[in-house]
Amino acid sequence: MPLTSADALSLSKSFRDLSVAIGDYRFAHWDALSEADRKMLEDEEWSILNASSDMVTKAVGLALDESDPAAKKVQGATATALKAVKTLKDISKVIGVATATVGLAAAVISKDPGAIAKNAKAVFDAATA
Amino acid sequence: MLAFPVYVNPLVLLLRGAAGCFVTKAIEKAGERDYILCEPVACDVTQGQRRRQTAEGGSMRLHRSGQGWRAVAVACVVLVVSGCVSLGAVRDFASTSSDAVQYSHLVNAYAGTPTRLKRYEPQSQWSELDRQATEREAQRERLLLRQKLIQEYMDALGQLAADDLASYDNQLDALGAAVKNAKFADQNEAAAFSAVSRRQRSVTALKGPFQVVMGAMVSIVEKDFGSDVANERVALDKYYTTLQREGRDPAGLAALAEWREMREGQLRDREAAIGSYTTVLKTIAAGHHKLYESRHELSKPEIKAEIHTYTRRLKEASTAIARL
Repeated sequence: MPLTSADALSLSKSFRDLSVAIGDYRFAHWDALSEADRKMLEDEEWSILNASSDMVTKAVGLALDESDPAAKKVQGATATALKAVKTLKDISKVIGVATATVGLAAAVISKDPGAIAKNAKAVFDAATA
Repeated sequence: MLAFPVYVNPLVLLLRGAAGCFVTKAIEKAGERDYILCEPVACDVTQGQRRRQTAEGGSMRLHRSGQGWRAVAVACVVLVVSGCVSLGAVRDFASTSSDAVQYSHLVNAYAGTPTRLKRYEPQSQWSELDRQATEREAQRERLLLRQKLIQEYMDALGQLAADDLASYDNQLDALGAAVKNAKFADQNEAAAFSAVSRRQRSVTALKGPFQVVMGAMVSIVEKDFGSDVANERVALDKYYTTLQREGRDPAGLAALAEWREMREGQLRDREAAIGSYTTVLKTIAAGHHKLYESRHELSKPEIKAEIHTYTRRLKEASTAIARL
């Protein structure tokens, strides 16, 4: 069965606890232990602590791997959303022109020269905004 | 120069709409808000160019037919239907989230732990620590990219919540429904039209993947980075306790005690930063979930108030990190 990030984290804690326990023993029996024994125990403590650190590295790597497919979906959706923002901004401009054009059409039908001039300017402004 | 978008030309749709009698249906359809559609609709430039040509022709026909008043009615109704829903609370939340998530100190500290451990460990362990440092350096890039991904996603959410875009989205809905119901010859045009709205909504369709990404980041920061600090504290304890056991010089022992205290303080600060940054990540996740749950009622005062609460919590956590 493959190792999961949770498994790696759990192993990390077990290794750390073991390293701490050996260290506690070393300090508790400091005077009773020979210098060579203390050195040997200390080396073991560091090796086990580094194994714990390695498991933390594994846990992080696995957590990233496990969430990679979801991250790719978020990335894709973000790109799509930004594209939609651009499209909507373009459309907002077009809608502005459309609204102004409709006003112009109404003015033409009403045969009101003042309104025609005003609405023609509105169309021009919207189109060149 | 006016540039028509690739997907649709609302101008021609508006003007074409003058010939129809679909106003009522447009209103009804505009009220149906489906925020969970997210499939993309392909639309190429050629289509857009074809519509542009149609737009010119359509406009000419309208003036000749003299049915402009109906067009006025359509335009007015569409603008009224669009409403004026302010998404300021969503924008604030998205913007604050984007700012708060940009915190690289913890990732850098995590990547640097094996190198820092060298100061405590005997030389016989250094090759192993170098190997871990290399592995973590590669992870550093991935972690920073993940933070950037969250930042960009929240930025996009903020941009989509801009008041003008939200308004145009509604207009597009109404127009798209109108085109569909009027059974124009070019049904592809109607499909492309509503696709724009669907694209906007696609962000809120991301509840699952976004929560997975946020869940992974929370786990990494809270548990893995927390374990990393715990390991460094064990190394610190072993190193200084051993030196203090072996030491005989009072001045040296006093200096050691001060250094130990200083290093312990650094670890406490990092733990506090982990706590605050975890709050940031959890709040972004919870706030996003709230947005998803409330997607049909974002203009309600009580929903806005709740979103503001998430924003305030984010600001507090960011301030706490900045104080460290």
